[in-house]
Formats: sequence, C-alpha cells, structure tokens
Amino acid sequence: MARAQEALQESESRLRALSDNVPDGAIYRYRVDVDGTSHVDFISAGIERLTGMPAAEFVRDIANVERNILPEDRDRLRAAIAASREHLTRFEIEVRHTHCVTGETRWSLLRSTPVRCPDGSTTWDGLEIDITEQKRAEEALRESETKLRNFFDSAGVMRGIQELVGGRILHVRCNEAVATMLGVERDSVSGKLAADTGANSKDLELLWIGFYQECLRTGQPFSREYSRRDAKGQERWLHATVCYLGTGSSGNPRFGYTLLDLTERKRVEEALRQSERRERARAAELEALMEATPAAIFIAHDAECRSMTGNPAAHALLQRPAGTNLSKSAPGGEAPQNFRTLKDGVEISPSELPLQKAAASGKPVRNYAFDIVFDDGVTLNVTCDAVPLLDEEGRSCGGVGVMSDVTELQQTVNEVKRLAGELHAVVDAAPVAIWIAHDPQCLRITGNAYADQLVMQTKDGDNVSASAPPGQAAVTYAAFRNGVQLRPEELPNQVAAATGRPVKEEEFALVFPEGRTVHLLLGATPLFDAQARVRGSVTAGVDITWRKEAERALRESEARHRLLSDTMLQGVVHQNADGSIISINPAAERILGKTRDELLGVTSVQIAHDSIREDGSPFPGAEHPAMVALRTGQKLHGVVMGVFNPREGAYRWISIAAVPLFRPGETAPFQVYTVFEDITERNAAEKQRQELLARERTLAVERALRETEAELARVARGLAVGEMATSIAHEVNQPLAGVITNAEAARRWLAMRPPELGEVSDSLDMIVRDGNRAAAIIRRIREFTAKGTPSRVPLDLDEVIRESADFANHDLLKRRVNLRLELGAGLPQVLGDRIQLQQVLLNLIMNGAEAMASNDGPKELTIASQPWSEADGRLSVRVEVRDSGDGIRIEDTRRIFDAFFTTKPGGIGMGLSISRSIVEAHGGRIWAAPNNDRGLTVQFRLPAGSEEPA
Amino acid sequence: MSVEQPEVFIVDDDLSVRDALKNLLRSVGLRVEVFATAQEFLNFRRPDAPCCLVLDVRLPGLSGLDLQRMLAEARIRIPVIFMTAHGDIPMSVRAMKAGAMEFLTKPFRDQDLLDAVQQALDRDRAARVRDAERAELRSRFESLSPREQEVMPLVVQGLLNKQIAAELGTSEATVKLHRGRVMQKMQAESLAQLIRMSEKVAVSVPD
Repeated sequence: MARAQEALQESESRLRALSDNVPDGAIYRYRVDVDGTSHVDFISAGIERLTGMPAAEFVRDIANVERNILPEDRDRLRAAIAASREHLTRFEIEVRHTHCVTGETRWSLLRSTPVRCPDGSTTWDGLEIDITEQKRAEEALRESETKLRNFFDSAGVMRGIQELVGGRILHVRCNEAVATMLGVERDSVSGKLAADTGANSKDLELLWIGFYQECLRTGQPFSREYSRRDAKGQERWLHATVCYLGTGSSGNPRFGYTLLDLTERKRVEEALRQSERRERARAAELEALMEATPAAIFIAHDAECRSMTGNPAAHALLQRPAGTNLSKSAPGGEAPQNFRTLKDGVEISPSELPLQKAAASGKPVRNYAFDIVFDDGVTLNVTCDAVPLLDEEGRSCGGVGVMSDVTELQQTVNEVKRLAGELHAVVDAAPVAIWIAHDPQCLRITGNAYADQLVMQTKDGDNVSASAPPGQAAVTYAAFRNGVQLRPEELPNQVAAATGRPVKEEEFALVFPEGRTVHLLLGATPLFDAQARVRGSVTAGVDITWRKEAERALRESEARHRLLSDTMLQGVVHQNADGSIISINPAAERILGKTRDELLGVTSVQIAHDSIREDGSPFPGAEHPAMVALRTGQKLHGVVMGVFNPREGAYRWISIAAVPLFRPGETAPFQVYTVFEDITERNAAEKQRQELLARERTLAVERALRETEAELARVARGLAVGEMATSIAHEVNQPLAGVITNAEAARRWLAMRPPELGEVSDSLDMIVRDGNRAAAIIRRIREFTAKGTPSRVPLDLDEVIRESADFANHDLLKRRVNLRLELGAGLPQVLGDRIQLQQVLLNLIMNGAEAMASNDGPKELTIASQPWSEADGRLSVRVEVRDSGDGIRIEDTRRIFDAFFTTKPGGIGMGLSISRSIVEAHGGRIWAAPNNDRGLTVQFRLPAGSEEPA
Repeated sequence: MSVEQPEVFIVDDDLSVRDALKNLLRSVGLRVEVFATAQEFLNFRRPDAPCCLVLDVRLPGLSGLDLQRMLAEARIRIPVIFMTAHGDIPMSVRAMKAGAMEFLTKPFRDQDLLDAVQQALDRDRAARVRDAERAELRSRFESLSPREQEVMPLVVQGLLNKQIAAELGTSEATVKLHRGRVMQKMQAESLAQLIRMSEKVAVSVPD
C-alpha cells in the first residue's frame, strides 16, 4: 500500500513535473460535486503565464477562475461545462483571459473529457493551451481579407470569380461594380448559379462558358469584347478578361474575370466614325460639284500661287489639258503660255490677277472683270471672284477663285445697246406719229419727228401735253372723238397711263387754233418701270386726214348717185355677183309693179317666170341680161323683155342694158347694174313709128347709161383719192421742203456781215416759186376731188400736160416708168375744162404705164404736143402719148374707146371711153395706133381757140 | 495731197429741193454741185477734194439706193447722206446698212442736214489723209530692195540681227547693214515708228 501510495505520489509528482513543463499551457483537474459546488483540485504552474495569477490562487478560491475570464465569455463557459457534466461529453472551448499583471487579453483553448466518480462528483482532467498567437494570426488574416475585398470593390473595374459546375456557371463572388451592373445585391448572388440570378440570359451564359472553355483549352487568359444590356436596359460594351484559377473548394474549375466598361469609348468611336463618314460624303459631294459645275474654279495651293489646279471647267476655259498647272505665276516654264490676260485692253501681270491678289493679300477680290486673249485671237470676257485660304494662324496659304465667261453676256449687252439705238432711229424715221408721256400724270409729252413736224407743227422736244403746267405747253388744241370734245384725262395717252392698260385704236380729230384739223387713228400703251409701276405711256397715231377727206368725197358722191338714180325715169337695179338685188330705184319699182321690200335679196332667176320674150315665149332667168353680164363680164344693151306687172295685171315691155362692175385687179365682176326703160307703148299698127320710137328710147337708155357711167367714174375717182393721198403728200412735201430750206438759207445770208442781199433776194424768189407750186398742187387736188361743172376757158395745153405729169409722177416712179415730155413751143390755146382734160391725160398716162408693167427692158413713156393744121385749114393742137408696152391687136384699136371694153385684167373699160366723151365734147377726136416697133400711141386733137364760138 | 475746197454733191429730181439745198449749203460757204439724176452725177468728173453726196432715195431711172450700190461696187468711197420725202423703215435700214452716213426725212431741219454734211466731209477728209499717208508709206516701202523688203518684216517682228541672219541664211553684219538702210529709206526714227508704219502699209496692201 505504501508502495502503491509511493508509486502514486511518484506518478503525481512526475505528472506535476511534466505538467509544469507543458509549454504555453497548463494541466488541470476540475471537479463538480453532487451538490454543484465546483473546485479546482489541481492546476499546473503554466497557468500563471496565461493569467498572471499563481496556480495556488485557483485552487484556494474557485471564484478566481471566473474572475480571470472576460465577462462576455463566462456564460458560454458555464453553459459548456453544464452540458459536458450532464451528458459526460467532451468539452472544448476557446475563452479569453485578462492577464492580471499586463492587462492584455489572451486566448486559451480548454479541452477535457469528464469522468463520473463513485461519490457522484464529476471530474475533468484537461489541458489549457495558450492560443493567443494563433488567434492573432487569424485576426490579421481576416483583416487583410477585408482590405482585399474593399480593394476588390472599390476598383472601377468589375471583377469576380466563377466556377463551371457541370456545364453551368456558378457565381462564387463578385464585387460591387458587377452587382450594380447586374442590378443585384452583391452577397445574394454568391454561391448562386448564374442562371438563377435572373440577371443573365441563356445566350450570355453560353458565351461565357465559351470564354472559360477557351481559357481551359489554351491555358492562357482569354480576352473578348461583347455587349449586353445592363440592369437599366442600357446597352453596355464590355471587355472581358478571364483566367483559370485552378480548382475551387468543391473541385470545380474556378475562373477569375475582369470586365472593363467600353461603352463610353464605343460611343465616342461611333460618333467619330459617323463624323468621318459625313466628312467623306461632304468631300465627295464637293468633288462632284467641282466636276459638274459650269463655273471655272481655280485653287491655289500656296500664297504665291506657284501651283494652281482647277476643275474641268477651269481647264476647258483656259484650253489647258487636265493635270497641268493653271497659274500664270507658276515658276520655270510651267505656267500656261497659250493666252494673255488683259484689262481694258492693257496686258496685266500675273500678280495683278484676282486669285494671285487674294492669295497674296489675304483679302477677297470681288467681281474682277478682265479679258483672256488666246493665241488664235479668240477673246473671252471673264469676271472672277477670289477668296484667300487661311491656315490656323490666319496666314494665307492659297486661295480659291471662281471665273465666269461673260463673253456672251457682254455681246448681248452690246446687242441690246445697238438695238436700242436702232429703235430710236426707227422711231424717228417712222412715218407714224409717236408720243411718249414721261410721267404717270402725262405732264410732259414729246413726239417723234413725224408727230412734231407733221401733226403738232412743233419743234423737237417741245412739250405737247394737254395737261402740261401753265406756260409749258408748246401747242394748244381741242380733241374730239365722234364729234364730242374730250377733256385731257380722256385722251388715250392719259387713259393708258391712268389705267395701266392699253387703249385700243380709235379715231380722233385734233383741231388747232389756226383752224387746221388733223384726223388721227390713235392707240396707246402704258409704259412700266422695273417695279411694274406705270411711268408714262406711248401713243401712236396714223394720220388719216386724207382718208377722212376721201371718205367724205365718197359719201357725197354716193349721195349724188342716189339722188340721180332716184329721180331717173329709167329703172335701175343693182345686183350682187349671185344676182341678188342690193338696191332698186323708184322707177324700177313702178315699172316692175313690185315694192323694194318685195325685190331686195331676190335674184333675176327667181323673178324670171314672170318674163317673156317679144314672141311671147318665156324668158329663161339665166339669160337675163344681168346674169349674162355677170357670167361673161360683158356689158349688154337693147335687150327687150316683157315683165308681168302684178299691179296692172299686164306685161310691160322694157329695153334693158346691163353693166358688170369689177374690183381693181379682178377679172370676175362683183356686181352688176341693170338699167331699163319702159317701152310698153308700142302699137302693132304703128310699127314703123314704134320702131323709130324704140330707137329713140334705146338712145335714151344709152344716155341714161352714159350718165351712170359718168357717175361711176366719179365714184371710182373718189376711191382713188385715198390711194393718191401718199402721192399728194410726196408732191406737197417737195416744195414745202424747198420753202423751209430756202428760208433757213435766207436767214443765214442775212446774218452775214455784211448781209448778202442778192442771195437773200434769190432765196425769196425761190420761196415764192415753191410756195406757189405747193398751192397749185393743193388747188389741183381740190379741183380733182370736187365735181365741178364743165367749163370752157382758154387753156395752155402744155401746162395741163405738165400738171398731169406731176400728178402721175409718184405713181410712175413707183412703176419705174421714165416719163419724157416733148412739148412744142408756142402752142395755141384751146377752150376747155382743165380738170376733164387732166383726167384724159392721166388716163392715157396710167394706161401706158400699166401696159408696160411686164416690160423687162426700159419703160419709156413719152408725151409730145405740137400745133396741127387740120385738113380744113383750122388750127388744132395735137397730143401724143406713146408707150413701149405690150400694145394691142390692130382690130381692137377702135373698140378700146367703147365703154366697158378692156384688155387689162381688172380694168372696167371706162377710162378710154370717158376720155373719148371728153375729147369729143371739146370738139376734138381721139384714136390709137400700134407703134412700128412695140407699144401703142394714143393721139387726140383739140381745136384751137380762145373764145367760145358764138 | 490736194488743197481744194470741199464740195457737196446733191442729186434730187425735184427742182425746188435741189435749188433750196444748194442755196442753204452755199450760205455756209460750201461749194455745191447739183444733179437731177443719178446718171448725171456718174457722168460728172469729181475733183480731187473732200466731198460728200446728198442723195434723194427716189429718183427717176437709177434710184438713190442703186447709185449707192454702184458707187460701192466701183470702190468709189464717198460719204452718202440720204433724203426722202416718204421714208419707210426697210428702205432706211437698207441704206444705213449699206453704209449711209445719215437718213433725213423731208422736210428736215436745216441744222440736221448741215451737221450731217459737216460730219461727212470731216470723215472724208480724214479718210483722204489716211489714204495719202498710206500711199506715201507704200512708195517708201517699194523703194526698198527685195532683200530689204525681206528683212523689214523680221525686224518688225522683233527678231535680233543674229536671228534674222539665221533666218535668211546670211551674216549678222549684212543684216545690220540692211536694217540700217530700211530705217533710213522708210524714214523711221525708231523701231516703234517702223512697226507703226509696217501696220499701216500692211493695212493698205491686200493679203
């Protein structure tokens, strides 16, 4: 027992020695009794190192155990001990002690297994180990991990770790940036399959699996750009780099990834690309424009213009091949030599050229006009606009010039100028009166030469406005239209200016204070300025005074004609070409027993069933003399016809003559006159007497016919007056020109120092002579147009010939007929009517002229006069009119004097017949004979005498 | 060159007009000759003096326009002033196109005629001076030897003696000699003067 005691004590002391040598720890025996009191039976010395309290203190007072432990660990310790005591389970706990000397906190690990003793107490033999250093190391590690994570999260880049798990991606970790991008809580995704986060599409996951497999295959980090939508639905461009990290805790391959957000960079790149595309498009457009534009464009590439290129139009303009230097300032023979440059005819140096100037000065040159003269003499008028090209420092580094060929424009301008000049000349030369109103109110109106000289009788530039301010009008006049006097504002020029519309031509009469009346056909047009405002008007007038005179003469003649036909005993019927009746006289109404109204418009054919021949047979309408005359163009007379007079219920016998009428220049008659006399009073028993009577009546009809002829001649003459107006104007103008010019000359002779009085006197003589001539012409016109009674006055036949020749002069010139007068000296006078004899001569002259119309050679017309002794010894005057025309057949020489016989197309066969009547009325005779060579001579002789035979 | 007085010819078939115009033109100190027809004028021997023709458009026989054409065809250069009592536009256009100086419508203002006549005479006078000058230069040019006539155009073109010598295949010294004679015979004091002369001579010589 003792040995056993000894052995036990020895063993205990060895244990104590052993336990005292336990490094960094202590061995203890802790006991809890059945009543729950606890004791420390034993604790090795190592505890003092842990707690700063000697081991004996723990054995003495159990409270020191708890006192030594940090309060927050005490409950845990108690609970662990209680659990271990109840279940007899191993107990292991980490607790913290406060070192009672140094005050520091140290960690210890307590471990032991409980043993239940027979007395019911429980004993723990255990080991307490100092684990402070280990704990500290753990803490340092935790801290460093936190720092790492902070770094991980704070970096702008997105980072994370994933694993491939059976073909799925598992999030291990990611930083905040990734979570923000995905729109998830960072910690919520850790340990989740990517497909379960709801933040990634299936396609995206496959893409990433591809990344990882590529990385596994190559063993190298793998990079790739891709795009995806972020949590806000925005497209993000990302640059992913993945690398293999080895296998994770569960043996799956683990990868780290880094994402760089490229979205902004991409956006900038895209913007850059678009802007580049736009620039390229603009450059292409510019290039196309340069190619296509007809304007010549030059580009200088340096301030000195040593090198200059141009578009195709520029090369074409300068006639230089493409690719050549276009600069006149180019060095070393590179400059074009095929043209020179001139301004206003003076050669200009290259440095004066607009592009050179602009490039050198840095200032634009606008609208510089100059000429390009090529070696072949071709000249272009061009204008050029040039602007300098400036570099960033504002220094000139070249220039651009645009040149336009204005040659045609220049030519057009010149042409317009020339036309304007011509127009001016034309306006002044025009035989029409033209007035220009220079303002909308027509306060100043001037006329062209014709208007001034012939209408207004004013001087060039005179104001002739009826509205001119007081004292400024050069002439006063009253204007009439249809006999009503007009106010100034009713005149065409003012109406046109006031309304801005053209005024149609109308007839006006201007009456001047001296009693002169001018009839004008006036029309007016407004004039507009560039802004389309009325600035005046132009009025054109044709002098119709002569026409008016002619119309008046014609009207009077017609009135006379009507009076004659109304008072005649013979019936007169006037019919159209189709036979319809235009007019009949009262005698015809009486004889035919029908009224005007019944007959007007009816034809001879239609009334023919009422007509019979002398033998009682019906008279066919087509054979009515009027119809025959119209058909054949021949006149008929002495045709006897019985016409049924419905009033009397009996036939009346008439003797009819029909005369076709021709328009000048036409061969078919356009109208016919039928004249008939009532010859009913004939008696079969007194046939002899009747026949005598009939003959007398036929004569009467012929007389009536002759009267009609004379009347018709006057009508024709009246018509001719209009045509003669121009001839007369010419005839009067000549002596008038003489008067004016001589008067001016006289003024100059008088103005000399000393005055040339002899010349003045000569001038005045000429004025008197010309004045008389003009007066004579006017008198002759009046005499010619008026129908005077035939007179018998002593006449100088040569004078009559000259007057007639003067009268015909204009017409003869027009027909290029040369008229020669061979007038015998000392002709005896004849008694006669001047006008009638003029008519004879005019007739013969015009007939002769017309006969030569188709002559190719010279057209000679000669009028010769000489005294003549008749066979019976009486003295007469012989006049010959010789032409070199076509002549006529010898058998016609007698017939040409018959009324209505004509060889001329369009003639009415009246002239020579009238002429014969006149000559015979003067007691003379007239005849015609063909010339030996060619042409015809008409001769007449008139008895000499200066006194009316008693 | 003539020192004769200028003279005006009038052709008008109308006596009044003829007399009046003669009277007017005499009153300003001009010599005047009148004709009734174009033929009379053609038959007339014109003096060697500045002159002009006042011509009526409508004349018996040859018309004024015919006469103008004939004068032009015969290269008789005389300024023509037309008159007409009844001018129509086509006629005046025709006359002006054929080179008429003026186209006056009767009755015209005396001053218009006098101005036209004065202008025509001035023009004729100037033309005669030019003709005379040209004739003189031409005769000088013809006094040059054939070789000198060859040298002159080359001198005028601005060629150097050396270049002319190469052109004509002769020596520079010879060219220098010819050149001196050309200047002397043409009475040119400078090259510029010679160039002007050569232009005038060239103008008066066809080709």
